[in-house]
Amino acid sequence: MQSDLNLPVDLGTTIMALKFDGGLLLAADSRTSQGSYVSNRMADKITPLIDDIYVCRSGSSADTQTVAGYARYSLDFHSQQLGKRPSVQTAAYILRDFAYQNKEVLSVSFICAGLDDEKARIFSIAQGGAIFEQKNYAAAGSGSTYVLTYLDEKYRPNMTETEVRELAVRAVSLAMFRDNSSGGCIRLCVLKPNTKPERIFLQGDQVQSMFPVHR
Amino acid sequence: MSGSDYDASTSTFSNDGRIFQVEYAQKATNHAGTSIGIKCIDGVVLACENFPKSVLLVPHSQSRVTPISYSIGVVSSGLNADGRHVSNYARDQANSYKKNYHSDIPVGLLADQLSLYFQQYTQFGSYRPIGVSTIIGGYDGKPQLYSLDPNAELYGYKGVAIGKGKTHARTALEQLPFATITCEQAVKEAAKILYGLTHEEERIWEIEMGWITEANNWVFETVPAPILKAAEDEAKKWLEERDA
Repeated sequence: MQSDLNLPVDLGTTIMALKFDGGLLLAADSRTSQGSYVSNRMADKITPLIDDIYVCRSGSSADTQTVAGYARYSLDFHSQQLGKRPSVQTAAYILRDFAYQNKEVLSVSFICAGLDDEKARIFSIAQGGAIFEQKNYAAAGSGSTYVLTYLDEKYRPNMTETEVRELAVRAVSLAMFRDNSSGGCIRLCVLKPNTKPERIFLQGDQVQSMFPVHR
Repeated sequence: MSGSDYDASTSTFSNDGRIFQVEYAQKATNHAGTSIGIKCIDGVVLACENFPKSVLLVPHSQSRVTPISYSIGVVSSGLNADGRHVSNYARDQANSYKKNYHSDIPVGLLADQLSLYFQQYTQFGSYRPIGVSTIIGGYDGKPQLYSLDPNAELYGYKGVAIGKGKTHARTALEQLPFATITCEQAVKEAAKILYGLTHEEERIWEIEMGWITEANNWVFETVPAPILKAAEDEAKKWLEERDA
């Protein structure tokens, strides 16, 4: 029998991005696994691309880190040319182009989100390079299957920051409970106009209280 | 002044630090048909005069005002074939920018890329400099106007003229009220400036104009024939009154 340690490192994942009244929230679990072996229990799947544009990564850990690195380089260079920060759309399409052009060898999917002049924008990039702009929220990764309908039911446009944060933490907790390859802690990132992005780290005990069986 | 031993190549400076081929290229543009660019409050107008070489040519079959993308146009004075090469390169650049970044190339960035391209032709031994000056006009959130010479110097302008009538045309442009001028007015002013140039040597000549305006949703296009005709009629009348 092959050892799990020889399997590729995977971000069996729950990631999501949700708009709220006056900003944007990104959320992710923190489990990185190789088969049933958890190789990192506090991974950071919310990666800054440039300024307040972020990408949530899911798929192969190595592939998504590398693609995000290329996108970062590309955006840094491009912002020098432009003399200003490129748009979220540009960032998302740079990720998309990498994902599409190397689809034979990559296992990647992303949620790219950020603010363009106070306007929140969310793009989901699926495995293979399909890109869709999402109106209000997006969820991806293996865990998203378990909570997408929950978000469909609970999400309302123009929710407050607190409401959306509660919803996201609840949804990620639910996904972590059901999805064996999502787990660990919860990481959040709050983006608001003219404010430094706020990174929040919720430790295991703060997550566990959300599990339905413990309510 | 002749460069004697030093005027044959772009890869050698003269004793007093000049590259004569580049200066000769500038001279080539100074003998060519005049082109004008005017930056307005609601857009940019590009205009030029053409001299068809034969009465057999179809009117307006030679064109120098060229769209590069939806939001950018250029006009070149000098060797027409070089101008077409420059337009083609600019289109390539605008297109690959759009493909890579999924947004329209800012006018200043395109102008910068063109100037870097021109610069290569002033440095490498086997090249001859590009024999055109190019005016780049467009919109990227606000109206933009640049002018680029064979020596690869690039400047932003409110109003600019290149080609053989440039001295006269720039003097006339200096009188324009750039803080208030609209594209409709600028078309008339451009026609007057071009008609005001001396045209005795040529048998036939014609005017060509392109513009990008807020009214046309910021899409670069040829100035519609009726508007151009009205501007030309007004310019002719103005010229008759001036010379009377």
